[in-house]
Parts: sequence; structure tokens; C-alpha cells
Amino acid sequence: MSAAEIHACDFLLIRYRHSEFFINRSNFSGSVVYSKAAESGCRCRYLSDIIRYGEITLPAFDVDRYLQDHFKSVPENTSKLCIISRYRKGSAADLALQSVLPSDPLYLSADRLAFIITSDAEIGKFSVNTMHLLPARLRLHCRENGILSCSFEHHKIRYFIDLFTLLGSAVRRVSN
Amino acid sequence: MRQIPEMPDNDEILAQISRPGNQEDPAAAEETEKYVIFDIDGRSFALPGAQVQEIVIDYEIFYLPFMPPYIRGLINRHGEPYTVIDLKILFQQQPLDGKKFIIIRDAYDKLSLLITDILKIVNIKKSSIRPVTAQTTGSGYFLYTAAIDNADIPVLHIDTVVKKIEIDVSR
Repeated sequence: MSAAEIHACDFLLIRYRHSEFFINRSNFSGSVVYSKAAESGCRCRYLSDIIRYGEITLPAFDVDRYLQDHFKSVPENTSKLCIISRYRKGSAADLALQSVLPSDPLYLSADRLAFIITSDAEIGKFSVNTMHLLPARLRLHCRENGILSCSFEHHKIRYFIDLFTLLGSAVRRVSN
Repeated sequence: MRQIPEMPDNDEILAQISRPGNQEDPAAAEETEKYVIFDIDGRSFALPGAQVQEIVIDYEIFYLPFMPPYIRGLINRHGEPYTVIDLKILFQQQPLDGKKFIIIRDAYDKLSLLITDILKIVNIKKSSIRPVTAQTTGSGYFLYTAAIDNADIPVLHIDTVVKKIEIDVSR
């Protein structure tokens, strides 16, 4: 699909008290209620949980905690969901996970990952036209940290974020 | 009949114009430039008027993570995000509690300065401009100082501030 054809897209909108986050619906394939199955032993605090998804176990990146820590997001409730995404072997996400997850066999899925989010979220069609590129001199730095664009709605800022870049950014901070 | 005073003819006028010393006093005709004088927590600064697009008030600052401390976040100006630069953090490592913003005229980017207030807009003669002394806090960010009302007001070099942003966010 060319960029000119996109006017509205399906997004997951995650809500916090003073901010909201758009995630492209095509970035995940399913969701489950968050239930921690085990500790990963990972040195990155945002990747400390393992969850069960059907017959498989997945590493879980705690997006909710990350957004609270780095975006000063204040949750309205404490219940959580997991959204499930696939990644390719050798991709940036794969390399990031390999660099911080313990090498001991955890029998984790090699191509799926869970992202823990607040349950205060909805999927809907939102206009792309309301989103704006970030100021030019900050744009690349924001993108490298997972912030793609933003918009404003009712005294709230809405960040359009990329989950895998957010994960890479969190892992990079641990490695540095 | 009323007597008509003798009027000079055109040649006489031209002769007067071409006479040495006919020009106005050079000091009186000196070139001036417009400056916006603003206050940041009790300190006055100036910015060339050509670099000021607009003054806006009562905008909420939205936090933007992973930025150097002097970038306080974004303001929503007609739906467009503008970077908020806090010069007090840059000069004194203290955040400014302000609600007014100078929107910088910049064809490439959307920038604003957080300020306490606008003090005045003045025309400054070039002879009133002096070099910045090393004693001026944040002297690296100023072009020169301008003598206004018996005070030397530092004139902000916005390009230096912008350069610092570019360096800091590329690390």
C-alpha cells in the first residue's frame, strides 16, 4: 500500500492519565490476559517475566512499566494484558533478546514475544491525518527510541510508538 | 500687496545639496535593528526581531522522553508539535516556571523558547553593541551585548543553541 492511500488505520490505543499511545494493529497478532509464568532472570528489568501463551512460553517486554518509567505515564488502573507479536530470526528484536536473555535453556519461543500493556486500551480506526512529525532536529533521535510521531487530543499527547524499537532502546540502555 | 519671499531656483537647491557638510549628522542616521527583550527569571536577554515569529502564552508543555534536560518537551501550536527550550536549565541548571513562549522563525524546524515575560521591543543602534565578556553566564550562547537603559543585555545566538541540540540528540 502506498503512503498516499493511507488516511485511517487500525491502531491499538493505550490510555494513561496525561498521555496516550498508538500502536499499529498490524504489529501484533493476538492478546491474552497477563499472567506471569516464571522469572526470566534477564538483566533488563523490563524483560523479567515469562508468560504462557497456549502451549508455548514467551519472553514478555513490560511496555507498561517502560512507559511509566520513561514517559512519566500514570496508569488509571493496574490490570494488564499481553499482546503477542512475531519477529524474524536475525532481526533487530531477535538480536536484542539474545543479547540480554540468559543463555540457559528457558524453552522460549524463538519467533514470538509478548508485550505487557495496561488493560486500559482499545482497538479502533484512527485518522493518520491528525498525526504530526516531530520537530525536525529531534525526529531521528525520537525514532531511534521508538517514538514515530505524535498528535494532541483533549489536553493529552498521543505518541505513535514502535514496540520493537522501544524494546531495542530498553536493551541498549542495559548494555550501555 | 503681500511681498512674495524670494524662492531659490533648482540650480541653487542642487548647489546646496552638493555643498560639503550638507549631509545629516552620521550619528543621527545610524542604522538600527529591532530586538525583542525578554525576561527569564529576573535576567534580561535579547533576540533579533527577525528571529521572532510570535509570542504565545498559557500553553501546556508535554513531556518528551530521552531528551537533554533543557528540552522541556513539546507544545501544541495549532496541532503541530514545537520543541520547548528552557534556557534557564542551559545557563543555570534550574528549570523555569514559565507559561510564555517565543516561537522562533525557522524555515527548517519548529522551536520555541520558554520565558518568564516579554519586556519590550526596541530599536538598537549598532554603536550600542559590544562584545560579550567572558564573565557573562552562558557567554558561548550570545552574539554580543546591547546597551539598553544603562544595562548590557546579552543577545542570544540561536544558532549556537540549535547546534547544541543537534550534538546532544545525536549522542
